Amino acid sequence: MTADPIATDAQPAEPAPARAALDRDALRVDGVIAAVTLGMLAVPTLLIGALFFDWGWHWLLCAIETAAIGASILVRRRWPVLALAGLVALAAVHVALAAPLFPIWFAVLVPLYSAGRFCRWPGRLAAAGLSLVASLLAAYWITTTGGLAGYSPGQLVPIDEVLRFAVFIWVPPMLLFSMTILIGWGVSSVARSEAAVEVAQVSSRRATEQEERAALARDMHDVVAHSLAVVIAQANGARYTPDPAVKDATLETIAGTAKQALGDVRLLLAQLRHSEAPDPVASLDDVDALVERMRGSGLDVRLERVGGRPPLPRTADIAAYRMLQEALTNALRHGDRDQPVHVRLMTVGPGIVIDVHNRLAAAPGPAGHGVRGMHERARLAGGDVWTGIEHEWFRVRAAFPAGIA
Amino acid sequence: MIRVLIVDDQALFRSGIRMLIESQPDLQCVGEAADGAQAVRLAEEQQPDVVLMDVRMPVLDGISATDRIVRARPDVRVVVLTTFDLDEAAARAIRAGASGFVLKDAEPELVLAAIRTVHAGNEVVAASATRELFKAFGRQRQSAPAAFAELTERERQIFALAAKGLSNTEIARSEFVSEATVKTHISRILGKLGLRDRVQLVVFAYEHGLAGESR
Repeated sequence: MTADPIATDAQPAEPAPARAALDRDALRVDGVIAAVTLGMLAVPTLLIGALFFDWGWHWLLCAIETAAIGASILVRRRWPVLALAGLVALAAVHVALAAPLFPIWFAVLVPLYSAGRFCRWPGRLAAAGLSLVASLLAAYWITTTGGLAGYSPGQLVPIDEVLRFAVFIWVPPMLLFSMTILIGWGVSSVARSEAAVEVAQVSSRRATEQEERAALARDMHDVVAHSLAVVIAQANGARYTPDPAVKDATLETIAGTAKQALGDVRLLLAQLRHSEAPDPVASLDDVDALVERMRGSGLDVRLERVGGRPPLPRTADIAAYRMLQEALTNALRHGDRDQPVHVRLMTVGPGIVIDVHNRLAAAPGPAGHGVRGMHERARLAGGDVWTGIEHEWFRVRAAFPAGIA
Repeated sequence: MIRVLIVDDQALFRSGIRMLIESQPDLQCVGEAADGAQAVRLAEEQQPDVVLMDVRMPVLDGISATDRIVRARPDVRVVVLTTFDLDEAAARAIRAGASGFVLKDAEPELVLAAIRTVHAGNEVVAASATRELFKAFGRQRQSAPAAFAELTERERQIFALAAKGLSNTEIARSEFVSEATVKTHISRILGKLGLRDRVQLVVFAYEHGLAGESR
């Protein structure tokens, strides 16, 4: 039996072009199956039958059957029941004409499997019915033309003989045929559940992407709309206020607000680019550069290292770096920027602990998707993370075990 | 002197608006609140006439704060500050009892006019923008309640004009009556329909298909 390489019916919602491509691939596969089956079984049998046994005109019948079986393999995905019905009809003719043994008939298992694999329940039941007919034909052929019981075609068989034959001659092909349909059905349910898992993964990935985009849009609105609203309010206030000293102070506020907004926008754009193409060089080796960049955005980062740099597995290394990046970004966006951010990298036992704490802003917002992402990332890299508020400080503590670098 | 309370979670935004308000001889800033809960408390303590209310704030948002303030003190007028001109939150705040909305980037003259207008109660702030807002987010076409049938023929005419956003002066001019008469009619209409103020009348007309617009 052939293992089925392509899950043609796995995704009913498959768009049309992809479906067409699958059809072309499937047809190619079926062509190979048909060619191998016929080439290895039918042609030698036909030649041997014609040359060494006196098949006479049965040779023509067998040639027609060969062609029909080949065709049934080619259409097995699209019309499995029809292909099977055609073959069973042909088998009836074969039995009725008392044609000789023709091993290519074993290829009928391919359409049987296909009916189990590609049909829904009505098709499978029809195939089961046809396989019952086929097994009766096979049993009849074995006992008569096959010469197993010494009866000739058309002869009346005693009832106790019939029962014996039923058990020993009809049951085996019956089992073989129905097992084949069941195998097809089993493969189809496995393919279906695999497809369901795949679809679920894709949709959850899409949901995450959408969530990230929505979060980014919110951040963008927070930065751009809020800063510009402040700039407009301050500028209008300055236009109306009579006090020149207040006017000057206001202009300073406007410049400061705009500058801060520009920094935030840069940060958001960097995040956007980062989410489009993951940075391949993320590693704790780049902590200095990261800290420098954060200082460049106006964050007072105090970096302290305790102990050396333990060898970390690559996943833990990336996760640790991202964690630090996320913590610093959060400090910049939600923390009090007038206060320093303390970063400590400590070698503790066979691993590293990253400790970041920053002063909270006056009104801290709720923990966003960034913090959730941190936990997720740490878990995946075999590490552990704790985030929370201690007194007026927001604190992120993460530990990653060392490994063979 | 109109007493104004400024509510916004951004201190610098508040200070800008404060400068604007204090430059006006007839306006006085009586306080600033950084969130809805503070706003409710200050509205109680400072007895403002008009509250400029941001919508999105921590602790308690502008919609709930508006609701609490107008429940506690029905004579306070709330003007909602929004970033977008079609902001569903603004529609909800108006339904909760705000008297109108102003964009945060509106010209200062407009902000000042909005404060004076809602305080006087003679007309609706940005009537056409309000109609657009409820066109986008309003609950559409409920049939008119029984109370509407209690309006007299005259009151219905005045109602239709006020629903279009016309001021008392404009209604008086178009109907050849005095402004005082219009004012009496309007307050009787609001009383019969159980509405708070003119913007509620516009919303009522729009949501019950009484605005007389051929859309």
